[in-house]
Amino acid sequence: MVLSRRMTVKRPVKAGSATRSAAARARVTSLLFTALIAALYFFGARLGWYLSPRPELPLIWPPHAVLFAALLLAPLGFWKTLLAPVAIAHLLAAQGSSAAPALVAADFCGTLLAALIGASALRYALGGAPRFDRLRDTACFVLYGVLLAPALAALLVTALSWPLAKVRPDWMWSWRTLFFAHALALAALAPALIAGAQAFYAWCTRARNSEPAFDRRFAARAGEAAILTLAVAALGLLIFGAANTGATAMPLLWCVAWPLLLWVALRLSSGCVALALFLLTALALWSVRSGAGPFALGSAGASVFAMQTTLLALTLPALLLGAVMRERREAQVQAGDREKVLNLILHAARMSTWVWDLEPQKITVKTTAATVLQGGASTGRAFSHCMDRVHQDDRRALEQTLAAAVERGAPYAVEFRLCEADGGVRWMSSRGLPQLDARGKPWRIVGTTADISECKRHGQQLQELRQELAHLSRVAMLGELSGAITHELNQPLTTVLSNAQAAQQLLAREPADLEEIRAILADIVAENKRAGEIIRRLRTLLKKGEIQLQEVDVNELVLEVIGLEHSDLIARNIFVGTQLAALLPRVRADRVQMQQVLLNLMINASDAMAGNAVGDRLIKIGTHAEGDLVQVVVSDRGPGLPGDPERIFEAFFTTKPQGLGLGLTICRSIIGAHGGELRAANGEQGAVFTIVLPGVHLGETTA
Amino acid sequence: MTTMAPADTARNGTVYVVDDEPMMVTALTRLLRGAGFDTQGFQTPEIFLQFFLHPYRPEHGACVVIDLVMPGCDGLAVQRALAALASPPPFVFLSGRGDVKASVQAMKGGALDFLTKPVDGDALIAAVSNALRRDRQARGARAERAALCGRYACLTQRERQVFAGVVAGQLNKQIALQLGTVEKTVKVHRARVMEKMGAANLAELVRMSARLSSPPRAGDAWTKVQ
Repeated sequence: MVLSRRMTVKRPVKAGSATRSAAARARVTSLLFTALIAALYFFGARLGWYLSPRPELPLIWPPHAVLFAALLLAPLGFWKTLLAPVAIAHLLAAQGSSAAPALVAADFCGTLLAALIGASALRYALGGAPRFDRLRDTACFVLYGVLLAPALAALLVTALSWPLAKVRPDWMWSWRTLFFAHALALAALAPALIAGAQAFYAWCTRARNSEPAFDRRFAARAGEAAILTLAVAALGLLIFGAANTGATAMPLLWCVAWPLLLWVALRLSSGCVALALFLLTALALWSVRSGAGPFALGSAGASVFAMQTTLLALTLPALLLGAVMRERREAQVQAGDREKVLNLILHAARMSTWVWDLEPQKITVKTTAATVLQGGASTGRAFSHCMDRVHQDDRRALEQTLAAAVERGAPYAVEFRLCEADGGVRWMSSRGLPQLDARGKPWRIVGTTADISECKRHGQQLQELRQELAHLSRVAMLGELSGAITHELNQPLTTVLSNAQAAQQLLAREPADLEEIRAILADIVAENKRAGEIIRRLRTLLKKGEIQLQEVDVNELVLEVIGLEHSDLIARNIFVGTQLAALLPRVRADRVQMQQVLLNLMINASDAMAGNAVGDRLIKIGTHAEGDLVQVVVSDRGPGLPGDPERIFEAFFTTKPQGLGLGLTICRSIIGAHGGELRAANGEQGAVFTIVLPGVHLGETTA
Repeated sequence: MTTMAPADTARNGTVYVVDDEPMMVTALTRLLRGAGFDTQGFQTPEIFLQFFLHPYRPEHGACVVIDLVMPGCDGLAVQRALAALASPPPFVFLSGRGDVKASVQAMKGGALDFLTKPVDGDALIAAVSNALRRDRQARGARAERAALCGRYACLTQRERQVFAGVVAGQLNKQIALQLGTVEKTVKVHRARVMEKMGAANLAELVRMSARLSSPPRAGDAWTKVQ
């Protein structure tokens, strides 16, 4: 990984010299790396043979760890370059040993195979060198590198060298010695090598970016690491030293190393764990080599084997534990960050979280905004105490919701009011998630409570403003119609006046025509009622009030609006054709607002046809039922809607010279508030507006 | 009802009430009948025109009380339709709103009155009486002119020449010189002209000549009488 970054980076070509110098630097780096690996391999092999009590009984085989680390750190293309120098180093190292040529060859094959298998498997699984602060990486390293690859390689080498060996040892014994030597080398040395290379690379990067290579925290850690290293060394001496040998030896004294290793794994980085293991291994090797220590058993094979198993049993758990601890620490840091962010969010949203234990009924509130629930954070407040503060009108509903949630174990969301000590009322929105026990019964509920008073107030203000706007638009619309309305009122007034005066004339005569006078009076009454009806309708439209949902007959509404516009339509030479469905479900709607919408659509249609020839001014209004929906279609024969018909609903979009561009926006919001839809489209000739409203089922109809 | 319309002269003639509102027609008809007018009510202009023109009786006195704004065909259209008649009836318009443009148009078309609803009974009766009176006068004037024209037609060529000279203020001598005849002959012609035209004196003859030379426009008669 280290080298791969360095050697594969392609810098942008600026000048020939720069490229040349970069290439030269890369060549120097790779040369140095190769030389270093070869040297390490050489010394490793020498050490391996030196430490072996017999050539065919290796204690540890360090070259394997060296080659393995090199293969993982170098890019894939560099592998074949490494082969020759390593082979030469192997041969050179073999010069000074008493090993037979066949054994030397078998060792080389075994090393190469084990390193290739292990590195390939890790590359395949992880994509590069493992990081020992990751549990997955470490586990893969242990599984593929330490266990699988040496086992396979040992198997192959044993199989190959079987026919070559002069003295045929036990087949199983042969495999076991090879496997343990390779596995121990990898477990004890490879982490130290790889972690060292990674640390070196990180240090180089920091130096290149002119960051301080070590900070204060690092210094503190380094101090602790140094102390621990010394402690490990001292303990190692104690365990593997000459004092612990012979008849007085305590073979299980090495168990004392465990607490120390645990300490390293818990407190320090994975690199330190690798270092400590390296140290312990080195001391153990030295003790076995010198025939001292707890592993100095009867035969060389037995002591080697005991040492190998003991060290493997120490190193592998320690490595894994180090990775686990590292991940845990990081997770803790992340969780801490998350909690800080969560607290910020809760604070901003004026929210609190709580845990409600169902068995002893008590609620534990964790809060960041102390104002949310008066009293702020608390532990173990009684459930009834919390319920007491809920507004009387909401308490029943809240209790029912909670009871249902507890019974079904389903999440819930509820809104309620909370009474403050000063008599104020705050709106709360609460959500809860019941936690189920093994039997599937909820045992506690975790949830949040947010103060939504502001939100509620804004919503109410918005509602009021919307109503105000609708009212103003209605008033403006009636202003437009004022001429027609005056005419509409003048009609019955004229009739009444004329009739009354005719009656006066009749009464002045002798004898008075009582029959005619009676008819006149009947007409006067009828016309007066008509005038009253017109005024009532106007007043309704002008009235500013709450929305009153009631079941209304849409056909009736259409006819009422046509009646209201009657005079204006006549004055503008506009004909209205209606096609009203006979069996139309009623709709739940506010009468005034629906009239407003219809009136608005009709006035728009009239305005749109102002340029038409007198005979070609026709508004068609149709109603029909479509399933549960009631449709009202208003179409005109004007020029239609320009561009995208939906744009007509945008606020301040208008096609009229004096238009404000709010009428249809308001209409759409009115229809939307009724759960319906207002659509605009261009028909064959002119614009077509369609109101779709949900109808009331016959079953739902209330008396 | 404070003012009762004069029961005599104003009554001879029919008042046609046209409005799209049946109740309005009934009420207005009642009011006008009560005031002693011969009244006919119509709910659409089409039926009214049908009734009025078939057969058309120009000698019959008439006046139209009509709503300015009606579906399909408005009052102004009816007025235009009747303007071409030999003796178009006077119109009294009723309107629900003070529409300046429409009222100007109506007045230009010879509307007699323009009343805004709700219309007061007295005002309506006064307007209708006035309209009928003017209609009568206009018809009188038209009849008089027709008679004059008939008399003028009886004159010979020479008599017409003498007539022209006399009303131009020429002396008999001058006329004779102009016509290449003697003064005595002119005197004879002049006496015959006076007789045929039914003029008592020269002043009356001059007035007749003025009326003949400027034929009255439609609806203009009442203006002159006023």
